Amino acid sequence: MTEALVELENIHKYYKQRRRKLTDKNKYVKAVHGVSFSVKEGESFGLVGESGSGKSTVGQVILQLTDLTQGSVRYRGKDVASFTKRNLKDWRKKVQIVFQDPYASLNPKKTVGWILNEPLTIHKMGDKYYRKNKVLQTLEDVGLDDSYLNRYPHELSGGQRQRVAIASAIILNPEFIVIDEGVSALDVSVQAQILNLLKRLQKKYNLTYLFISHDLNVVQYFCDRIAVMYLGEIVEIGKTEELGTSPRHPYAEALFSSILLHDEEEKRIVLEGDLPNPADPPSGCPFHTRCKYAMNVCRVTKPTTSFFSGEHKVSCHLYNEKDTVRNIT
Amino acid sequence: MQTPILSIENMDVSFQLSDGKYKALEDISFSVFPDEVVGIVGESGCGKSLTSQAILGILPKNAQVDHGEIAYKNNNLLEMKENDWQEIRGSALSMIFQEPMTALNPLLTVGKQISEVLKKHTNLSKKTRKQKTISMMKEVGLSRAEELYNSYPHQLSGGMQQRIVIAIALIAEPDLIIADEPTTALDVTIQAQILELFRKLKQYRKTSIIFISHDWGVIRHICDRVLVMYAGRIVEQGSVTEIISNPKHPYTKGLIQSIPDHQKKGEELYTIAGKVPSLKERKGGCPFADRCSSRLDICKQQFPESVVMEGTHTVKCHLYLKGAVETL
Ligand SMILES: Nc1ncnc2c1ncn2[C@@H]1O[C@H](COP(=O)(O)OP(=O)(O)OP(=O)(O)O)[C@@H](O)[C@H]1O
Ligand SMILES: Nc1ncnc2c1ncn2[C@@H]1O[C@H](COP(=O)(O)OP(=O)(O)OP(=O)(O)O)[C@@H](O)[C@H]1O
Ligand SMILES: [Mg+2]
Ligand SMILES: [Mg+2]
Repeated sequence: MTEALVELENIHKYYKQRRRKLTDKNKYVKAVHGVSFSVKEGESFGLVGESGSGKSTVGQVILQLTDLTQGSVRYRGKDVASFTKRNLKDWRKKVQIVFQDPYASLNPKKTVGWILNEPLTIHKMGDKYYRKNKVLQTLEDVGLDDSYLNRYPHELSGGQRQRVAIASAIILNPEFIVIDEGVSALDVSVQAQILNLLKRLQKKYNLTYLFISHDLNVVQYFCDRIAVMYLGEIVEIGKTEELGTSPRHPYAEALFSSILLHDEEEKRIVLEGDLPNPADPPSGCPFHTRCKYAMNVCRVTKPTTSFFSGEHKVSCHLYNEKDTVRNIT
Repeated sequence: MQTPILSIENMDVSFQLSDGKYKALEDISFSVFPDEVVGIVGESGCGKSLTSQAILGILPKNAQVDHGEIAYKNNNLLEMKENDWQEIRGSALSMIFQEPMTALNPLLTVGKQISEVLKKHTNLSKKTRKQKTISMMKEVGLSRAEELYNSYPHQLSGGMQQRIVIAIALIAEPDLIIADEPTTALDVTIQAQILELFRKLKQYRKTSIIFISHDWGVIRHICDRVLVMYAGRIVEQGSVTEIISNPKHPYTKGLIQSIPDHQKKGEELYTIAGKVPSLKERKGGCPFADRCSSRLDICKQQFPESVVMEGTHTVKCHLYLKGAVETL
């Protein structure tokens, strides 16, 4: 079996909410609430789910861009929190992220050439000649050319900016990349070029991806396994072929029913109600407030994770025989 | 026939770069009618956002309109003074920007940024402004509007920020909305909700929308008509069903063929070989010629005239010009 590259164990990330009055109790936005999964080396792992469900937070937690409230992240079996400064610098070279909003993540005062050259300089990669070549090669890989070297980020189109962000993530030949909506601003043709590029790099260097996207067509095409998040938790996880074609969790079912271009209107399951407040999540199963199959037990008890087959796991009382029986009798 | 709410004729836009002037948009002509949704598609860098910036008079400093006309309800937008712009931008014409953080002020709460639009364009009381803001936030799917009102942009997820930008654009009930990739950061459920909101605006308020997107599923769902742009030009336009089911331009065909889906898993995705020429690489002739597998000799020399295919479906490609058909 392939080795796990990244392992998340019981990750919690809470943000303190500003109190409106001094007498108010402290409240926390539970952005991520008990998430565990592992990503195998050489795998593309997809993370999908409703806006605000905690996907970007998970990505940032893995890269240590934000501190953890609870839980641990292991990289090649080592707890990332225990890294020394030196280890951390080495590790930073190996793990990269493409942020959701490239405009916010690229330094507006620096040219594209500088932005791409800087990481090579910091990590003392090759000589000047090597670096210059590497920058040009990487620009070409993402479908741009030397005419963009002297441009500032604001002088690019949205998709060009996104490709510069991708270029800066792959330029150091990393082992692991978090791609947070990293291809969503690209038109289908350029997107296909980038996806092909990422796949080629993966084959060549055994790269591992955590691929966050709401474009389910792209996720299904690109990823080997998928995890579905809802309100800070993973509700279902499994191989793309299984989860994508027959999602079990009612939320995953609704989500995958809505792939616009492929399914007939009638098959769409429209979710009723609103996403609950992550500072005050519902009791029991987090999805019960919007679930059309909700049973009594769902309002009270949080479902445990049941296995379907092999790696396909779902957290839902419907699939826990004991619970269903208890509810019916 | 109805009169268009917006019409652009023969517009050219160029950039002044360090070594000269380069055309970025060429001969852009199209109209938008009341309650019509017009989609713009085309590869990254083709000039979709630039077209919308030209309409709203917010081109980058080094860009200018060299030629052409933009009329909005009998106003010539190109001659409008900044003062008049202040009045109509955000109220009559508004824009949803592609990247939310370009449009949001990181130092102001999101509620304030939405209600600010009302302060500028209406004389509603403070209390009403806040109420309206909160109900707008709910309409874009931010159900916890009261709590989120006092949040700063960085405290929201990407999709939540995008919806704040949508709320800012919609709050003053504009007649024309230019939506630049408005749903790219949204999951399908919320995307459907936003599309439904647009559909209602179109139906009940006769709002017109220019909808820039690369998502053909969304385009098919919401647009009446589509413009296909390539390297600064509109190369094909027509009703959305015509364009999707019967594309004519080799470029449009290529775009439609590149759409990924899970059935293609394991295969290389189809891509149109080559890339969009940068501003400096654009020469005479058809800009797509270098990448086109149906290229004729004339394609590199001359840019084709527009050919009417059927009804409103027009294409600019030598393959459909009379002479070419005979030589095929
Ligand atoms: N700095 C912060 N302070 C307070 N709350 C935050 C902060 N960052 C994120 N949150 C909250 O955490 C939750 C999860 O956010 P996250 O960005 O992880 O969502 P997401 O799944 O990536 O959503 P999207 O698909 O919209 O990008 C949201 O409710 C968000 O408002
Ligand atoms: N300030 C600038 N200086 C020079 N060139 C620019 C500037 N702003 C934009 N451009 C160029 O103008 C062209 C059109 O840009 P535009 O933003 O309209 O593209 P787009 O079609 O919206 O692409 P995307 O889908 O990537 O957002 C691009 O090639 C871009 O590099
Ligand atoms: Mg996110
Ligand atoms: Mg754009």
